Amino acid sequence: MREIGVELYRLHRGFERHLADLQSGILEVRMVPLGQLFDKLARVVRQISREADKEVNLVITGAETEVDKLIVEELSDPLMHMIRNAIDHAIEARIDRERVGKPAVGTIALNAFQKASFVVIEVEDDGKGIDENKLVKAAVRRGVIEQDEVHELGPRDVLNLIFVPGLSTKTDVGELSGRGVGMDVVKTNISKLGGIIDIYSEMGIGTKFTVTLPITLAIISALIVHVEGRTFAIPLSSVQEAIWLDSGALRSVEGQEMMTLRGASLPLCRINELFGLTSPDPPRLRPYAVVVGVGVRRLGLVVDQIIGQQDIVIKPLGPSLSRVKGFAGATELGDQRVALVLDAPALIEEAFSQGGDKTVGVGSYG
Amino acid sequence: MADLVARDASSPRRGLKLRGPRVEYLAFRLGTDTYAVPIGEVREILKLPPVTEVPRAPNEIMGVVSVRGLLVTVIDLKRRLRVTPAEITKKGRILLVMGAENEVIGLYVDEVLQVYRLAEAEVEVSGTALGGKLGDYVVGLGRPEGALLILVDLGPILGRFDAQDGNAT
Repeated sequence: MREIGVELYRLHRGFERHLADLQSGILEVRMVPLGQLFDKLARVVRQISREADKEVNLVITGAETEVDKLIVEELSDPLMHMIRNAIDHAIEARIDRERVGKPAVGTIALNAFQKASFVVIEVEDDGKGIDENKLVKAAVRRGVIEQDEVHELGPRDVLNLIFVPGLSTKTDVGELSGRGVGMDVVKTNISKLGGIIDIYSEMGIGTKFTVTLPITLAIISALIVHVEGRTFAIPLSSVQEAIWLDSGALRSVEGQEMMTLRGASLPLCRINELFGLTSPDPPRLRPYAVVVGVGVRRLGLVVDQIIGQQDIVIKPLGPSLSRVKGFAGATELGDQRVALVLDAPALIEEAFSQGGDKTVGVGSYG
Repeated sequence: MADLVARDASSPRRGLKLRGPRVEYLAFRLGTDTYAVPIGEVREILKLPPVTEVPRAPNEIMGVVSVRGLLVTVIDLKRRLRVTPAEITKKGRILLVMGAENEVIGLYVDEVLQVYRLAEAEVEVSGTALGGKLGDYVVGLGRPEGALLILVDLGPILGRFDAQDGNAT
């Protein structure tokens, strides 16, 4: 019997080591050089230049810079978009270029480099640049900004208008003289990757887009929930199950609310009470509990609605919020709306240490 | 992001140099008073995007917003300076500034007014001008053409945060 035990132990240790190797191996495989993507873009440049009847030279630097494989896949569309716009709208026809003393062949520079925990990708052209006056006029005409707000715009604000959905339509291509369709889509795609995009442009000289991305994506699967009209995300890795709160099975033990679940006691944590959230709506009748747990310590997080499951990019909260407990970060859910991501282990820790004697373990019976 | 980090290195918040040639200040309204900061402190001015409140954060933190993908903490400057609270209006704006630890912070103000170029003579350095609660942040008063600007140093405003364990008071 003892020999079997020893054998099992040895096997277990072997597996553990193997798993650790696999994990680090997998992580390394995930990083790929941007060069693969850049080569693809080079082919696109040749094709589009032919179609647009313009001569364009693509200069690539930093192709060896590595990023998460998932990021590269998502970057393909936005970069292609920017390059297509550059060739179609920014780079002038040969005759026009020669007339203003530019070389007949236009240049698009693709540059990538690492900076701290970020990767920076620059897309720069030596085309005609963006006419800020026309951009502002188009914005006013399309109702994106009002005439009396124009004086408030700093130079960065004007150029950033390019990312506003209302402006990125075909009919405005002529007005924008330098950029065409869909920059709002590009920005959204970059945001989804946890990155930001900046623009710099000078009329007659050119335009440069700077995309800054985290090197790896903290993408996780999460459960999206609503509490008093607010949206929160709970990392799926912490979630054991989601259940309907059966008011009949609730009871209170020395101030700690509990629910009987399959014969065992589950401590509950009402998120709206924990965070002091209220809303003008009437209280919900059948709230749900998301059971989160670390080992045998489980906690039922009571929420109003479970919206669904989603892959999200977690971004960290800044140092200004570092002392606020209970959140693992935040994520952008689209349309600029931000949802906080709950830190389940921290909430469990809080509930169990506050409870002390009050919070009994799962094994106790009603 | 690269641009933001580079700029911080060249515009330190060591303090205002009120003596010397004309300095440009961005004036904004908080409640009924007009405040101003050196224009170099303000990286961007935004209309209010959807703000997500952060429970258990200090009262003066309105929440977080997303600025082109970057998560930014927004502080209600009126609360920070203990000015009488007011409602959020369409004219409200967020000033993006550089906070402690290289973090971009948003300051919510009631209205952005204009840029003033103040000459030395138009500035009265505080010491005796204003005291009390506002003493720490105020560096002086600007008096261009009949307007009165409370000149503010963002350093002390952005340098300290006290998170509270329970609900903010």
